[in-house]
Amino acid sequence: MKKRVLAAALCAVMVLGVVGCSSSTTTEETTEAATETATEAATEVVEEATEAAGSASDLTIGISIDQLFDSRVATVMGLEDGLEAAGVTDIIELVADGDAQTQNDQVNQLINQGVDGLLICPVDLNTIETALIAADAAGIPVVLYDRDAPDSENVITAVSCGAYDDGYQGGEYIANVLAEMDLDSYVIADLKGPDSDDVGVQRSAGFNAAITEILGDKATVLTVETGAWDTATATANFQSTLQANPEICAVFCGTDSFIPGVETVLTDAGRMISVGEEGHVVITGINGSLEGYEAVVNGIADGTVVMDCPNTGIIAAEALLGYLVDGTTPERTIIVPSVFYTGDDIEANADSIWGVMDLSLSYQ
Amino acid sequence: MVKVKTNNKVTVKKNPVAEFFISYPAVAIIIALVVSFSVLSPAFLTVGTFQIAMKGNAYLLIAAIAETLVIMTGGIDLSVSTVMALSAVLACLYMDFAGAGVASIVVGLLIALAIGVVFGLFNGVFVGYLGMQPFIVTMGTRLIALGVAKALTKSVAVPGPTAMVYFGFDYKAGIPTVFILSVIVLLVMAVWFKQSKWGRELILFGANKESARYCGIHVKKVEASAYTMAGLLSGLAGFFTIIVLGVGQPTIGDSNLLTIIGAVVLGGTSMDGGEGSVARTFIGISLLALLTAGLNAMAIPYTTQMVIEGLIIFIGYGLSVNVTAKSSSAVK
Repeated sequence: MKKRVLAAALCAVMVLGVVGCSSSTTTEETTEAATETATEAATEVVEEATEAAGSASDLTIGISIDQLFDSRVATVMGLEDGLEAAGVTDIIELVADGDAQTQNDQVNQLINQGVDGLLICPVDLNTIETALIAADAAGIPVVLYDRDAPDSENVITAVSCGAYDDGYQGGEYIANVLAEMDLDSYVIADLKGPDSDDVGVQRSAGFNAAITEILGDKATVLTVETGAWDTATATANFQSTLQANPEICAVFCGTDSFIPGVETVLTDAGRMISVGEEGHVVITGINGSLEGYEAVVNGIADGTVVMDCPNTGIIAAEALLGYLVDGTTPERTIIVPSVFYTGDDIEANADSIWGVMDLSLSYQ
Repeated sequence: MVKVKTNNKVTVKKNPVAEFFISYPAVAIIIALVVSFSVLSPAFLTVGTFQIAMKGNAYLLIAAIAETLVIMTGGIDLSVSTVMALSAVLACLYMDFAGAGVASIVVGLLIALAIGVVFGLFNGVFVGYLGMQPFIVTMGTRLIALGVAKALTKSVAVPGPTAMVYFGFDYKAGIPTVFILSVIVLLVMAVWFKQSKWGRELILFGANKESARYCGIHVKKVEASAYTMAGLLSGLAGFFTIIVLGVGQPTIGDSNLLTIIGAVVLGGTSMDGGEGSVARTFIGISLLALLTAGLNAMAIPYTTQMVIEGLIIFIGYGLSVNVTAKSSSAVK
């Protein structure tokens, strides 16, 4: 009996240890120690730099992140930069790992912790609504970043890159290149994001609008489902589509992450011909990640729509702080424009492409 | 437990507290977690934290009860979470079509339950009567339910009726009403399981199928009924997701299955069948809910959360296997 009780006690101690150790390696102590020195030196500068800093520094801001991947990290770093520039040091970040229910619980937890404002990138545009209602009931303003919940009346603004315009730019480029070929018909593959993600839907809609506008009835767009932005699914489905439709002459990738898979499939099919050469399949992406940049530089893809992720984060943070500190109500939707780069100008603009910047992927 | 010699007899004096912790080792972990989080995070020990945990896990509790019934037979049901999702989606689609109103919600509930029963019955017939492997059968139904839910909605969550959304914000004495309803379901199932002939037959079947057969129990019927009942409860859990999330979420089944099975096992229900209870499952769900709430309150990065949750599962399962099993064998 004593042994069993001892075993139970040991396990309890282990639990205490596990939880205790994790806390010591993560947030408060480390952050406090690191920020103490930095803050002391920077405090004077920040106070002089922004009038808002005095009151903003008292604020606690909660950031709810849907999922971590390269572009999201870039946006979240922009959020942090925007908040820290205004003197906010008390930032609580929670990552939902792509689970809508987890995100709702986490947002409720942030509300419970008494945050003054919330920056949320929703996993699901409908499921987030109950959490937004709870925030509204608690009097906590919410700014959505990267992804909007268009039907919600419980957010002060949504700051994003303009998915429709991004898709339109990619489609416009493809359509113009194909139009120059002057063929009777064009078959184009659209590797689109999931229907549950407004970004995926809008990018595809923008792309299709440009194709229809420029190529009209000559173009046939084949939609390739990619699951939840899953590169493996995208690759497999594109392979099947190409086998069934070998006349495909252009591919619109809903995100740069799909480009390597498209390259693999085209190589397997003997269709991978570099940009500018006879028989090249036109490829465009959206994002501005390193893999998209390299694909364009190496002549695999024709171009990519580079989103301004860091600036999106900064603008979202400023919108929230403006509302909290000055009472400024921004527009319901704020679009941060993206830029389409081709092989002609992408290297010259590498400094402005977030995927090429030295982003420290410190998020876990 | 203390052995006392009195003349020729050896009487065993039981320490009720020690016996309780040996029977329910997960409770010791829960206490350790609550103490740890309370010390480490001032944000943890608040009414709000527990309200969030109760509301967020109300439907998972019912789904875990469903899984408990099947695991008690020595089987497993991988379709619980996706049947839950499909039930929620179909109920929401109907309620959206029929419009607001009590009648619409009642029919929505019946649809959710019916979907659950259909899938449960399907599992039950194939496993119980046709003797197919539960893992394979329920993997098939899991995929069917998931596929139908996603196909009907294109993976987009279907908004639930406003009345149900706001019911999710209803509290009685500070406790989320939806959680109270879940606990009522738990109590009904616990009493029924303990008091009914069916419950006793299920335990005997899980412990030893041959013995159960020789005792005159219709084993095929008992096994099939466990899956059917699990289906019914999955449908009910689906209806509860609408209250908690405000939507019929087609993808909710993707991520919740392991949580559901984890809660059942952590609570101390044996994967081999024949041992366990819905009360233990309540403890398992509570453990996972408090763990997540505490880690969120401390803003622990989610990758670290995964590691901690994995360690806790090791510890909890190790305790339930070793401490409880040794205790059982000592009694025998």
